Amino acid sequence: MYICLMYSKELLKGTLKTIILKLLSESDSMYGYQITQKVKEITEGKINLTEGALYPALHKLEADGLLTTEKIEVGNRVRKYYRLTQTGNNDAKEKVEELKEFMETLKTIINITPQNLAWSN
Amino acid sequence: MEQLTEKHISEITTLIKAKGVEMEELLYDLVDHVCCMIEEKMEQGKNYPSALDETMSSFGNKGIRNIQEETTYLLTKNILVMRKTMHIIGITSAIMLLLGSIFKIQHWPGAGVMYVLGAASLCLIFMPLYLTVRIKEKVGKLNTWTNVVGVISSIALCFGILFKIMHWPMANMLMNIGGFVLILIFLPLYIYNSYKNKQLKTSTIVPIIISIAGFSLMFSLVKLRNSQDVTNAILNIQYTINSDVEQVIKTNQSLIADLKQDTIPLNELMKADEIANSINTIINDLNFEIAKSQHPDLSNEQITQFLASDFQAISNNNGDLAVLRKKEKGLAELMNLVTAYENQYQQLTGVNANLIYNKENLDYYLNSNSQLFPLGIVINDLSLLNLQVQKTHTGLLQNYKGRVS
Repeated sequence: MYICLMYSKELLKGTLKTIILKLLSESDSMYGYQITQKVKEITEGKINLTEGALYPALHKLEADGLLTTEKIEVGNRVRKYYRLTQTGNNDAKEKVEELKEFMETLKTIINITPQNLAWSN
Repeated sequence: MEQLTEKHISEITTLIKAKGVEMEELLYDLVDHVCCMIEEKMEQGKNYPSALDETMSSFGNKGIRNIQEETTYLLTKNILVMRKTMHIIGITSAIMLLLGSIFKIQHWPGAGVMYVLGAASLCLIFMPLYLTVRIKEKVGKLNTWTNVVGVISSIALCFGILFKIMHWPMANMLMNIGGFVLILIFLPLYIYNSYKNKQLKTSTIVPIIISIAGFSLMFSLVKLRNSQDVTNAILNIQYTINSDVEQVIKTNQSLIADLKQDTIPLNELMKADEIANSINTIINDLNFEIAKSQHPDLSNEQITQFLASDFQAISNNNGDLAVLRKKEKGLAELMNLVTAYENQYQQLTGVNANLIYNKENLDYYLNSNSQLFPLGIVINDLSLLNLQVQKTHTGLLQNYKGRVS
């Protein structure tokens, strides 16, 4: 059971951008804390998106022109909402498709049984 | 829903800044994030202090700092090459300037080339690259402007020093602009910035102290050319010359009076006496006027008095050479008179007068392109010429007196 609590950082690293883009493509705009909570909620706590990974990625995506931000005053402080740009939207679709294909490919590797291997005969 | 007050939020902001977050945009994110975490904990029944404590410690000691570092890394990954180039060029130009200084001191050839190459690569490549990198790191608006001002004034100052060393024009202007912008605009901005970011600690204060101290020392080095000993020595010479001239003129006057009494003096001798007197008058006038040109605020009496007894009060500045270059009773006329006296002397005695004075300097005052020259040296040269003429004249008069009696 505890293995499922959190996946290793290495596994998350390559898919982090895709996760963020996918989440933002499904809602109008989100702020940082909301994204971490949403991921936790959807994955039932199996994926814990830390601040240390989330914010650098968000800023990088913004610098690349995939996201825009909007500052809104909320409860005495400024909250930054992130939203996909047009390019971000297209990119999100591509990245999600790519990840799906990658997962299929991964399955074929993971599901290989010794019988299927040529040299085992 | 629990809501944090303004005071709580400013406390949280300070805490996060103290962990080393400089990027303004990231700061907004992190403050909001931490606030959300605290609010969630408070909803579960915790009070504010313990919720804050728990949240901050959940990041670990370097956690927040690492978030900024990771962000900076991601944002500047594509300018890594630029950074490396910047480092290499910076080190190269520093070495070049150091070698240039050593070569200059040793009077080896090539110092000038090294200075020019070193300073040019420092100012035209290294500094702009540094500025670009800093801007790409997105350190906030005020920080960016501080960097822009700092880099531009440093370039001006650096070029000013290079121009000064190479004796190129406009060196002083560049140095003054660069220095003043650096001290009066960059430094206050830098201090204000550090104060605003609550970073006013040893690591910020020490560079500020060192730069102010360094600048003051450099300034005094440039401004105070002579040591007190050298100044005093020059003053002593000037006093001696002044009193000698006074003494010799008195002697000459009494000799002339004697000669006039004894017998009908030779017309040619009286001509020589006239020339000597004119030389004395012109030199005194020129000394007065060039001193006045630099001190228009002083009264005529004050200048006369300073020239006679308190030379130091007026000799520490540059005089205006234009005063000497006037047509009527100027330096040119004076030099003609000196030649005329030499001719008259030779005619009367059959011997070369052989006046010893600094003709090169006088030519320089008359013909050089520069407008200003240290006042003390000009007055010294003119007074020395006067002394030479008057002493030679004494000899001439004494010669005649001997013949007559």
